[in-house]
Amino acid sequence: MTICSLVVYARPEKAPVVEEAISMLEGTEVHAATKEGKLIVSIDHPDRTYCSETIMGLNNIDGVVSTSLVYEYFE
Amino acid sequence: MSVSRRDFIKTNAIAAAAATAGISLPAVSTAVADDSGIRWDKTACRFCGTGCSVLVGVKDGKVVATQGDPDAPVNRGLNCIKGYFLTKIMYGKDRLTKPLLRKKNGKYAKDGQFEEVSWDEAFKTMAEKWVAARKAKGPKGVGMFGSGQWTIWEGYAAQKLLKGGFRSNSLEPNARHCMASAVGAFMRAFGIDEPMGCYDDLEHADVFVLWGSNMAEMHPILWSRMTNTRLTKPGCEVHVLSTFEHRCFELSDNSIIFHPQTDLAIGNYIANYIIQTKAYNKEFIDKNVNFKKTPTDIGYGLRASDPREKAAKNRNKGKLSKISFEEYAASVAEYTVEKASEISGVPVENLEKLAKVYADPKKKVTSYWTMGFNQHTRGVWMNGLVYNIHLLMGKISEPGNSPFSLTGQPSACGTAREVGTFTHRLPADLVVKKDGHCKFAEKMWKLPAGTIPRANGKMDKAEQSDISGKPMGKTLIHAVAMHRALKDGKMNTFWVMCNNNLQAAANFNEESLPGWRNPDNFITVSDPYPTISAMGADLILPTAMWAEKEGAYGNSERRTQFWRQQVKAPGESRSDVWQVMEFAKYVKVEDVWPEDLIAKAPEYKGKTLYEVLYANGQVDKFEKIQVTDGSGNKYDNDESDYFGYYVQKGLFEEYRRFQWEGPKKGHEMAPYDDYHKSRGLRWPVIDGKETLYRFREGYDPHVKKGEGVRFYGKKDGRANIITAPYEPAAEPPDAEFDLWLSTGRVLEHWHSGSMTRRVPELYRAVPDAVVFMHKKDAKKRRLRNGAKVKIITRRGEIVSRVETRGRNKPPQGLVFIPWFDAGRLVNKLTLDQTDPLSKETDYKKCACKIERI
Repeated sequence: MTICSLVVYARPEKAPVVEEAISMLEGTEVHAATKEGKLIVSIDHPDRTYCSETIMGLNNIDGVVSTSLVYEYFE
Repeated sequence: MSVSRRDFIKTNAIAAAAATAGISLPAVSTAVADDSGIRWDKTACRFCGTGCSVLVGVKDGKVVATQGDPDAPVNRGLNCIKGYFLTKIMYGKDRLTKPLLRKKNGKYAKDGQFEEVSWDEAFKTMAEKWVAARKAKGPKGVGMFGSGQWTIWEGYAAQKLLKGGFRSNSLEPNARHCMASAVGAFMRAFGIDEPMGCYDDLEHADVFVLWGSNMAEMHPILWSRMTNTRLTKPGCEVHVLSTFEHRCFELSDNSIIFHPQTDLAIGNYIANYIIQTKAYNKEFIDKNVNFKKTPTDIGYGLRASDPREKAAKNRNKGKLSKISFEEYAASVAEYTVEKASEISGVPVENLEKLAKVYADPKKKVTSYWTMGFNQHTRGVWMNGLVYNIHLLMGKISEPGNSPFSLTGQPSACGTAREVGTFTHRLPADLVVKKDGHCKFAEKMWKLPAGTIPRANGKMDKAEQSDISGKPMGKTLIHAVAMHRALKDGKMNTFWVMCNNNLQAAANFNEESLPGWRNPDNFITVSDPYPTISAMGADLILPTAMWAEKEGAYGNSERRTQFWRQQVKAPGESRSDVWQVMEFAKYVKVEDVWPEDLIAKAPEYKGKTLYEVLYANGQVDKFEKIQVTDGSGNKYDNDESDYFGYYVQKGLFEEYRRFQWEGPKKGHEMAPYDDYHKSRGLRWPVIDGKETLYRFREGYDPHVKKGEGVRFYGKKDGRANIITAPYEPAAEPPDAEFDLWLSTGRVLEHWHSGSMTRRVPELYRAVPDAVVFMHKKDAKKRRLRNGAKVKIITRRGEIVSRVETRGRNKPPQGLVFIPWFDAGRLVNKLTLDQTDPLSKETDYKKCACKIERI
């Protein structure tokens, strides 16, 4: 299992769309979204490869400016 | 795993992210780290020059968890995608675990197959070749090519081995390809290397200008801090300049795409705008600045036989002459906005918008640049043009106002620049050009005067004698010249350590490969993996990497960071510092020093270089200890175990004397043990206090009360504003080779990909290097997205696929190809042109054509 958390920055005007797009992904939750475009995201999935590919995929969502990982646990 | 434990970890993860982003989540309690037998410790990331601190969790001798270090001032708990996979780089399936030597019939043979050998056989073979080459060919007969990824003591040990032991200045780092232009400009403008500001500017500035820096992909953590400021600080602006559109443009308030090489015209235009509008800070200039003129038409660092070099009026010249402010103003007067727009192809309004923010005294401006400036045949000039702008306005050396050169390697600053592992340098900004500096280094190293080769081969104006029996002669040789010397048979042994230079150096077909495979030459490569360089070598030495050893790096903002050895290296792989020191046992003083030099230090008679350089009563003076952290956790130190003393501490403490006792102030570092306790310290560190902004009273302890600003790297305390006109590139496109070719990096891979391509997730994400190209350019050649094509230059060709919809969007007339891909070696295409002053390669500009297959 892998659990990780991220801070995602989106262009403020696109933040709601980005939030929705991220929420749709398997194992992914958005815990907070600010008006400036900061999102707190977690991914909880049995497969570490899935998690890492999801993280890399976040960069390709239209409106995402930056993705940073904060915490990862895997076993 | 129990549900409660899972929830606990998840809660922790979310809380950490929220805290990092400065968001409070009332529903989440900030839980303390659990204890499940995991040993957590800080390490410095092994990739770019940002210098993130990463917490590594080890259980049963293996890394099981990582976390962005919440206590680290640099990354504040954040990690980029490469940082996420950091620990996986140690566990690639093809790790090298034994020395491999090319052999035939049980003996070394250049055309033999790689066979496993012992370290003893490896070093015996190597020493024989090195000693023979040193004797036959003089100081340039041997060479070592190190790294901005070396830990500080690895670079320092190598510095001693080459300059003090082998008496050769043929030591270069791969950082020559990466930030030599930045160094050149720092020395010319300020007389002391490295940025005056620090990363705190990411929060202090009102305006950020990215010049030839794709920070979003190459320095993602700095990018995320800048993004945070841009999104949360009212009025904050980001200006992005590049020769093609990339990820940074998503945040840009002023997007500028200019024709390659024309940044020179833009830089001069901004200075002219500041002068014409009388916006400059007269008081600051009068007190703190000198104006200088540089020779022009200086060539392109190609071989002397190249027609472009023959045509250059002032080939390789850089001597400055003093001019007045008025003369300087006149030199930039021709760069009107119309002219700059015409040369660069940038609309007038974008140029004016950029000039205005620099010229506005109320706006704090921070400029960032990386390879776009440095890998430039006028790289020193271009770096200097930005200093000119900041100096004209006095926007320097204070929070938010910073011209800031970013580095691409974790210790390009800490090792290559500060330890001075360049042909012309010694530790702490000393140079082999100066007799006095060499004598000081010899005293520090307990070597007889005249051991270190001077740049011109003369001590006290007399020829230095040499083991070759011939005069020492001129001793400097830079990275690109090393490959030329290997090809020409002038250098016969070459040790490449901690980098992948066969893949990284320009003009693979005409220079690098013929040099490496020249039958006269013996090439050694130390690496954890069988890279292109390893495969091109004659001897491969398996290397312990990153957290498999105790280490220290210095990042872009002068921060020195240490880590402890976390895990054991596999098989017989050994760290670079072990390799350098152990190899020194195989060479005797008599092998490389002439009799008259040995006569000056008879106590060294019959000694090995190891005994002279490392078992010298200084490096070996600290007893081996059980390394422990503040919580009492225990760590290995394999080098100390082997040599019997605290190797890293001994090397560091001897190195530190250069900073505290040397002729150049301003590089002071704290004692060894302090760094293990901190998240790094920015030098100069005086009385335990780090320095955030150099040259300004109140921040920098070297600036006295009442001085205000003092650029103390220069004797008169003044920085230089230096002329640098627009001059064309070496190989612009023409009718046949009709496109600009620019090369560079991508987010997922680090440099040549020797580590990141071994992480399956990163490999899958970006498996191959594609040709980023404009749709219309593709259409003109009847190419669809994804089409297989041949990219051809005057030097070679490679096959790749067209990408017209990717993250990089070049304008018409330019294509971009990343260089990480060992299967598609873009350096078969590039030209080995360099900045004639810094000798750094320009990988960004040559002409190519593209054909359909």
